[in-house]
Amino acid sequence: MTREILIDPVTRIEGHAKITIYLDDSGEVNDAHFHVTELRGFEKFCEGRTLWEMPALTARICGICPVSHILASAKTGDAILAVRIPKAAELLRRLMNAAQFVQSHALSFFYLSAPDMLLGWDSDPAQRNVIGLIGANPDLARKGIRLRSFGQQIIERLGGKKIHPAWAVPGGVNRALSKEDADFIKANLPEALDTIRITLDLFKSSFADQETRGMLSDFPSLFMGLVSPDGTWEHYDGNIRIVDSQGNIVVDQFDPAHYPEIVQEASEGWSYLKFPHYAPLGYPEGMYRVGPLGRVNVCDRFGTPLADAELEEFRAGSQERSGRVFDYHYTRLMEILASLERMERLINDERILSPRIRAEAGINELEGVGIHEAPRGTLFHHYKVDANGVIQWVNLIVSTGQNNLAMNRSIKEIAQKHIHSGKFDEGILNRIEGGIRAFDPCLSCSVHAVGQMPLLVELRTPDGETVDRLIRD
Amino acid sequence: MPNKKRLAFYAGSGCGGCSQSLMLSPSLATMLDGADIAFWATRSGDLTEDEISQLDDKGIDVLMFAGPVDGEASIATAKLLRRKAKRVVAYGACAHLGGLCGLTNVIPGAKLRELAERNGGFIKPLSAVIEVDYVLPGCPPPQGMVERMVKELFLADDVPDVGTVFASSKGVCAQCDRKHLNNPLEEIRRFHAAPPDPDICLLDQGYICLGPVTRGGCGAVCLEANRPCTGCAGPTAGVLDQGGAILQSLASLVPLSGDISGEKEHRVLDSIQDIVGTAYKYSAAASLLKRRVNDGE
Ligand code: SF4
Ligand code: SF4
Ligand SMILES: [Fe+2]
Repeated sequence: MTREILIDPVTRIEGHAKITIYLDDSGEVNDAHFHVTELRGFEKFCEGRTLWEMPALTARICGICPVSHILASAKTGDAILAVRIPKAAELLRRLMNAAQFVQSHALSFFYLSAPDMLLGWDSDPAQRNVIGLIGANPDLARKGIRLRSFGQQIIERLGGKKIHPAWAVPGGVNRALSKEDADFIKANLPEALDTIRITLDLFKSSFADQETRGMLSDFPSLFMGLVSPDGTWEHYDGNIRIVDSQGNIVVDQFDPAHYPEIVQEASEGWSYLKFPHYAPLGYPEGMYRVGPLGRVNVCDRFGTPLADAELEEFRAGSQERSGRVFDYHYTRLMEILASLERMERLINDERILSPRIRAEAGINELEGVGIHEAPRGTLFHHYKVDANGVIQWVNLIVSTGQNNLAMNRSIKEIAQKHIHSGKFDEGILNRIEGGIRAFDPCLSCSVHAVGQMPLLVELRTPDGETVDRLIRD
Repeated sequence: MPNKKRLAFYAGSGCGGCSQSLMLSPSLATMLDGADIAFWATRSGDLTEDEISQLDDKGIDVLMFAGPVDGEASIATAKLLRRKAKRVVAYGACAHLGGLCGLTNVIPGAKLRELAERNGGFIKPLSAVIEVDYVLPGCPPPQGMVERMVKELFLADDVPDVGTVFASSKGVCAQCDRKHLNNPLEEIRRFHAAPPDPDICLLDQGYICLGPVTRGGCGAVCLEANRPCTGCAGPTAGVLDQGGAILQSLASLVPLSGDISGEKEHRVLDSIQDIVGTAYKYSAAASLLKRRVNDGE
């Protein structure tokens, strides 16, 4: 007998996708696929455009994290102009990215994930959203909303717009920081820091036990992220480091410009989302994870006192790296704290107020790679241009795509744990959702896709017929 | 206080930025006070066809539709939604003009066919497939325009005239306070080479700015951030083809050379690096540009 279950919709994942769970003859889970079934063609229609326009164009890949694409694109432009941007511009881009981490991570935690955790995985789906959270814990919800808004306001003040602020450009940024905006940030930082410390304490007291943290799925993999030359957590610049689950460094201080040597993309007929993997280990053995858990697992330290204290507690003296998917939530909160501490340093650095914010140059290289850490993980932009700066070729490797193998693995593991003899209930489906949502996938980004992709969960037996259907509203 | 309106938000595709623009708007609370929500679907998957079919015909007072229309399925959904709503707002540049992804329509030849096949069709503005009553322009719509829409649609007693665009009737230039030098356009300057002077009109400095042909109301925010207007609010009232209009006005800025062949105008315009992407950045799908599907590679 074949059964197909539809979860329609998964309302709290940024984008659309579909999941198929394959059962064997006895109704046990054999395999699981996370499909993405649309393609938007950004790489293609960027050909023929100008280098100058690329930050603004690629911003429209995603209205959730436009800043990530704007910064990666501007960095690619820096490489093609062959310039080192002025210090103030670098500090400002860092500030913008820290603000992006705060707003994006706060959205993920307070709006999308906290309702599951605080209201319970099996509670009424209609209540498991930020409105439900406001009812259950109005103070926390209000604080979370204000925290996200703080990040958004910084982005808007710097870029002139909250969404698609094409303010970073090849060679630097477009507009200097005003004294007034600097004062705004300084004045509001203490409240933001307070909020995240309270939230982390609440999180740890409610969920830091081993059982909860192992709840979603837990498996070894490689982890990737940028680190500074001394191994400190990085979000804007630096080189690539890869570690394994034992904490061994596999690749260190690798120049991102040579990424094709370590990152290759495989394709599967059932998804438009490609499968990036660590090339020397091949596909699918080269599964690695990026994002908060990836970055926290690769770094030696955050480099700021409060976040470092959290890191020490998180690692608990062990050299091993956490493979628990639930720890994405934990590390996401740690990164909000680290971003706010970084912000504090940046805004108190006199140099950030300098009006010298752009290096001027012509087209000096015909190819460039720009890489930085988006909230969801390492983001690669790679362009080839002609002598006039007209784009000839584009390759984008987005954060969510790099977690593709791991998301598939996570779904399979959760399904295997909770589906037996072909039996399931809605609570199980919620956990499968939760197992994906922990990665905070951004599907607008990952397929550069136009929608048309509800997340459907289908259960299929080996013969592949549809007998049963469950639609949740 | 007028009767509560029933509103709905639908974003079939697009980048998600339009729904964010509404969610992050200070007007959101006011809107929710003044209206009941029939549904709020920020993803095509949030609402199935079946679910839409079950709604009463004309049961929604105002439907805001964001994102472009791109293929059979989305055309069918748009038509179905139209039946359910008394008034439809094209929300944001994608619904209004096809938006940035409309540039796929002018990718030459084989690549285009491949994409069109995968996506099930060309990118279209909403008004190409259903009747649209109001337009809220912008990518995404700027704050001031969102506020105006909320006020006129949800707080007023009577509904605005069909055809209302919740923006200014003047161009972007009207809100831009840069100094005008009325310089002739001798050569086109490129942005990566040098940053513009923040106080002088960009066209006067030789940078292309779509301000003169673009509908105002955004507060000229891009100019404020020292970058050109790239036209996200679409053409000014009465202008059909935004890209054509800017090329025309650029040509008119080229000083007369006494040569009636127009050779000099051509030389200046030819030096624009990416004419289509510059002049039609958001409006390629709504433009008079001929689709190049049969062009070959
Ligand atoms: S109009 Fe702009 S913000 Fe809105 S969906 Fe389209 S690309 Fe995104
Ligand atoms: S200045 Fe032009 S591109 Fe910028 S928001 Fe206004 S209409 Fe859009
Ligand atoms: Fe994204």
